[in-house]
Amino acid sequence: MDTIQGFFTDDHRECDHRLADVETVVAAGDWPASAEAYGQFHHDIERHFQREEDLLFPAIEEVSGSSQGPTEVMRREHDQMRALLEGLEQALQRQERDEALGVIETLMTMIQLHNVKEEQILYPMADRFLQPRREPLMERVRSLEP
Amino acid sequence: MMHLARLSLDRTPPLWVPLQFMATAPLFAVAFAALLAVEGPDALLSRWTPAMLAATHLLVLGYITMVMFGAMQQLLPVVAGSPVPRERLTSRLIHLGLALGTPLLAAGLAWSIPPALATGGLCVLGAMGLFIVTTSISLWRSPARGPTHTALWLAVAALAVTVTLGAWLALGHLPGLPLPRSMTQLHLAWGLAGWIALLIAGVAYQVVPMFQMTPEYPARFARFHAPGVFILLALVTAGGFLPGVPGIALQTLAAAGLVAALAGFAFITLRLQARRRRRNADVTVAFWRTGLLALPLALSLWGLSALPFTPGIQGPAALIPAWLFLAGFTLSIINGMLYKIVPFLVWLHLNHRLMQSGRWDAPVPNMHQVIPIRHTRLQWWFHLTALAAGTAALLWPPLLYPALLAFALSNTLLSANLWQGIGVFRRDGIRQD
Repeated sequence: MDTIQGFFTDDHRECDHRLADVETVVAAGDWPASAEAYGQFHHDIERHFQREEDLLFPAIEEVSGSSQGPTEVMRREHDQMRALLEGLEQALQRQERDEALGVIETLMTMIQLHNVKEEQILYPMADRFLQPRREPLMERVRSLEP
Repeated sequence: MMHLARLSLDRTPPLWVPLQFMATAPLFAVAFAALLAVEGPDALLSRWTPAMLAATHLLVLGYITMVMFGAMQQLLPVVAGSPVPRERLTSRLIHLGLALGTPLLAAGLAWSIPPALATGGLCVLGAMGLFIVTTSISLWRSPARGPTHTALWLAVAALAVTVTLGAWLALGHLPGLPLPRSMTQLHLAWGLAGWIALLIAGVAYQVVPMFQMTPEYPARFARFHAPGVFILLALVTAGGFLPGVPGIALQTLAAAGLVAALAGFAFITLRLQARRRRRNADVTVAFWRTGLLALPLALSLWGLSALPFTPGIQGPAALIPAWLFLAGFTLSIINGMLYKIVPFLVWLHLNHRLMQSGRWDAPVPNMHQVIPIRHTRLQWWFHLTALAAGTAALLWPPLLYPALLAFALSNTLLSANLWQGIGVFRRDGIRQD
């Protein structure tokens, strides 16, 4: 049985690897491969965001009785990352290598610091508080497609 | 359930809280070079010369500890989820105590001025005490657990031992009081292998896999490395108080264990980095590698010089292990981390300002636009040159002046790069208001 911690942490690593792949092909100046790698990364990270925003966060908010707590901060950080994704997409379309690498570096750092907060604080708490209803929740999380 | 709702994951302190430390630090490296240039090659004759004692403290307090304090102010709220109590006030006081106390302490040591030594010593002591107390409160309250958390705790405890021994030694430099010189080795061991190396290890467990996308540190190593180093330090200390052969034997064995533990950290980290998923050349990784190669080099040279059957190294060359540990290992890693931390914080705070003003469309400069990557790479070359020149100068002292010039230039360039980042924040931050 998946824990929230285990499943979402693995999902983070998958997305990290996709972004590292984008960086490698952008650094090599391979634009067709960049577009493809970016498409894959974008799909995966958007799916991850939606798994949290549409399923996990509402469940946390329900038991904590508030949408003003940590989940609100996490949603805001998702929006910051989405803005960076848009910047990256534009840089890739314009084939601006240096700018794309700068945005990737920023996005990578932002993602990592966001992940630490979720993996070390939010997910362990979610596992504890959502335990009785975890199985049906994870069922829906696994099958979500954007 | 209240606990979850109140949990704050958004506690980044104001930008100036960490940056005041980070922007001041490289200036102390320049002061280090200036002091040694004024005092000349005679300062290098042994680690006991007043100028060498003063210069070393400019570097370890003014630069290394300065950046580490700033980094902790940022790290604790963000990574450990637990802010430093009254962070604005405490960070100002700690910074002030360290920035004013360090040059006074150094002047007191270099030119035997007891009032400067006493005033500077008290300022530094106050800053250290405040840091140790506030950081302990923050670590105590933190919900985070794991190897990083343990290593940070032990690093702070090692700092407390280092400071206590240092204060005792400083008293010996005041008129009429005995100098407990036998304590110097312990002061050094707790400062270098405890405070500096444990803090770097604790941060490395977190940031190496995270930013360089390497595999995780082996779980058992991460779990036992910091406690092991701490226990070995305690054994080295105990050996110092045991009389005769058993004391010497215990100290020698524990010291050998420390060398092995620190070298092990360097090799494991280098191996992880060789397997990193991010293949793009990154100047921070270059700095890390420089530091991780310098560490085993420093340790093996020190170990060789301490062996009973080798002729003891005399004169300036005896300082090479210390130079490689401080400038080679510690400064390289700090320097590399500054190029991650400062551009990201500038970006983050610019972004926050935009969000507060409700403007999502305005462009925020990315990290490479905050500090251009070609400037950071250039500074890495300067740093390497300074490292090599410094080592060469300890073998052949006429090279001292060019080496000091290279070191001062490298740190001036680092300073300029950091200020360029701060300038971007000021310019764009004001434009958005």
